[in-house]
Amino acid sequence: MLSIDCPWCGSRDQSEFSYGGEAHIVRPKEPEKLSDEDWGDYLFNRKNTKGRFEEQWCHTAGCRRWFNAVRDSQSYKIEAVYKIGEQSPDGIPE
Amino acid sequence: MTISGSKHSQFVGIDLDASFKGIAGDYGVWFNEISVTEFVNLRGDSTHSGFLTGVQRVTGVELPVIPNTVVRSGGLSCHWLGPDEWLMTVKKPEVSIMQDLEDSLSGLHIAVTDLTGGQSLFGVGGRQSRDVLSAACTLDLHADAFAQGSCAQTILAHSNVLITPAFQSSGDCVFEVLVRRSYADHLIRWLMDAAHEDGFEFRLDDNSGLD
Amino acid sequence: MKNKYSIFSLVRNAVSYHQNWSQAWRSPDPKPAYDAIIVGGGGHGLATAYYLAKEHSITRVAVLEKGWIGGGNTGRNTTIVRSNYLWDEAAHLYEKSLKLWEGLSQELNYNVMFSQRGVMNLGHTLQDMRDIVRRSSANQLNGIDSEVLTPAQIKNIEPTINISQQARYPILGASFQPRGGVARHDAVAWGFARGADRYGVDVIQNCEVTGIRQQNGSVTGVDTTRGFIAAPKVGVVAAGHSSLLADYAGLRMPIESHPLQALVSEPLKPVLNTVIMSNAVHGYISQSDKGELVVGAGIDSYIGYGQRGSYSVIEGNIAAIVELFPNFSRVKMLRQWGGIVDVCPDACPIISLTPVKGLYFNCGWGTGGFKATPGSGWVFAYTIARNTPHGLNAAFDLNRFYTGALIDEHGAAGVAH
Repeated sequence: MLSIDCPWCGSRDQSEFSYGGEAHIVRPKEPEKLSDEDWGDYLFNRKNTKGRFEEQWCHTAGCRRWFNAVRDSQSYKIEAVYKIGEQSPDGIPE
Repeated sequence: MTISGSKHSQFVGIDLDASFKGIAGDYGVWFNEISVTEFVNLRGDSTHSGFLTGVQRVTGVELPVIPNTVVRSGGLSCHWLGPDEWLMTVKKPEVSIMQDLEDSLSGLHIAVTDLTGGQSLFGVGGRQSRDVLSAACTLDLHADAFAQGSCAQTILAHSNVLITPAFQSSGDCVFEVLVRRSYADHLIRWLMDAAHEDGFEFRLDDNSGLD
Repeated sequence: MKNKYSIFSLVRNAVSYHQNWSQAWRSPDPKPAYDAIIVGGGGHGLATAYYLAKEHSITRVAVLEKGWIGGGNTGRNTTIVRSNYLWDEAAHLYEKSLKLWEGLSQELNYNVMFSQRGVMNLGHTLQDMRDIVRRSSANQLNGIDSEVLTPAQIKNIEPTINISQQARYPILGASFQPRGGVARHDAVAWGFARGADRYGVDVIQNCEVTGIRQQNGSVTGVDTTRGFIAAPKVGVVAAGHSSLLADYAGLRMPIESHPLQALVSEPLKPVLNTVIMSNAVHGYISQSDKGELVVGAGIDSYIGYGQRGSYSVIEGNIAAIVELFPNFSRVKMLRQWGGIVDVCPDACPIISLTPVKGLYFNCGWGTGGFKATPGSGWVFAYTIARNTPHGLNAAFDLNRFYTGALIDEHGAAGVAH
């Protein structure tokens, strides 16, 4: 089981959280101008990183806030958590 | 004894005599139902001074901005639910804050939502209460970690709950468990099952919420 | 066939105390170049190599496996085989596979212990039952055996199941595919490896691919932990690690890798006659020939390459099984493990050409690839050999994520994701 540090509530059991997948996916500003390939890429293609990975979690059964975490997808170690809108520890903006 | 005829109690239909009878009166856990006359969910920007003072004007309390804390004053409690979200509970039938909050905060970017009737509040006390709750709750309920003034939203027996420890002058702790009304029946039955080996009783005498 | 397994070879080897059985497949060193390389020595990869050699006479083939063959999801799944999928495209693909399963032991001269004991999908709500009737009707129109059972009929097939209407999620009915069943997962990998080896395919273990080389938009070979190996065609069948391999070729994939857990119990006397699956309470269970109850859980929500998942998932899974079979509540679970499944947005696989010429991907099988092992290999071999998809896998190409022609099989996939 993961123990996840909610940026507001602190360390809580994984069962209180829901998963939101890859973080920092930027929604296209003008989707109607995208090609089908670019739209499909935005919609479906994912990094699916093995190793250090920025991802979204929501503290569903707690404060119900979304936040980002840096987790190693192989060791499952959570290396950092940060709020939505903050820069990732690896420098990915918002 | 089962309670019937009441429209309000979550104890309706539950066999209140089901308490395990060990040594007479020596129960590890007790439950009661705490009557709350008003539940109000409040959302707003706590960095906005007009918001904070507007709330204080009505409730007389300062909104808790530290996560997972509660401020109590008289029959009114104000629980932190999120960085921009609070739950107010009023236990005095003669007091209503809903309309006053709306009036006091009008013009601000806020939401005041009446949740009355959608929630149930239980007290779980007795020397084994912490152990019983811990059987299906991952939160650390020890007094060192979950002290007076704390509250926490978490999962108890697969139900979303808000737990608030209320320490008595004796040092004993009563856990106030707030749950959505539709989950209350499940939760009571789970509590009875979980507390069976310690013995339990229902305390109907004070503030039980029966009409 | 040299060293054919038969009653005669058994007798002959019994005389020499079974000391002289020959190796089932060789352990060759990689050659500098092949006509085709298959990356991934699981069931699907080995089947691809086997059918490349058998159906398309391409025998200068290497299967590169970073660990040991069948050590990934092939050896970790719950071995369920069925073809009762909703949409025509999926139904035809899985039915092709099921037909291959039915003759596989004979074809490979290797007992894959395919046991057609039937697969039951339970319905617990009215909507479940509507979906079951719909899917069952669709199956029948596609010539796939499928029937809708009442609770009494379920009880007749599976006497220990709890059909009480007092249950939290009462059983209202089920779809049943009698030709479905289970197979011995390791034997499938071993049988295909032996079969491919007979045709001259090199099955190379402990050889991890670390890069995919290309020139002018065409693949030229792969870098491995045992050096560069050249080939004009490379087929990638790497399940949970597909995204990594796609990354080597500069491609992005609509895939997320999640842990999927399974458990087996202590061995019991025969108690389950068929395979029971329930989407609603979420569990699936069958009994292996060794007597162990084989139980599958749902995927963990998060991306994970750790081959292990969270306790809460198995807890919910076991709760579901005990709800269906209260008499299993005291059965001890012996082992629990996880695999890395490559989940696709529409719960259907990708068996496709790629923008890189000579590079092919077979992935996205998610939680249910085992049942497709022979069919997957069969169509993928065709795709690699002819450089064009077979009619059975044409719809399962990468382009569907850009054209929008998804094949939504979340209902029939049978595992919540």
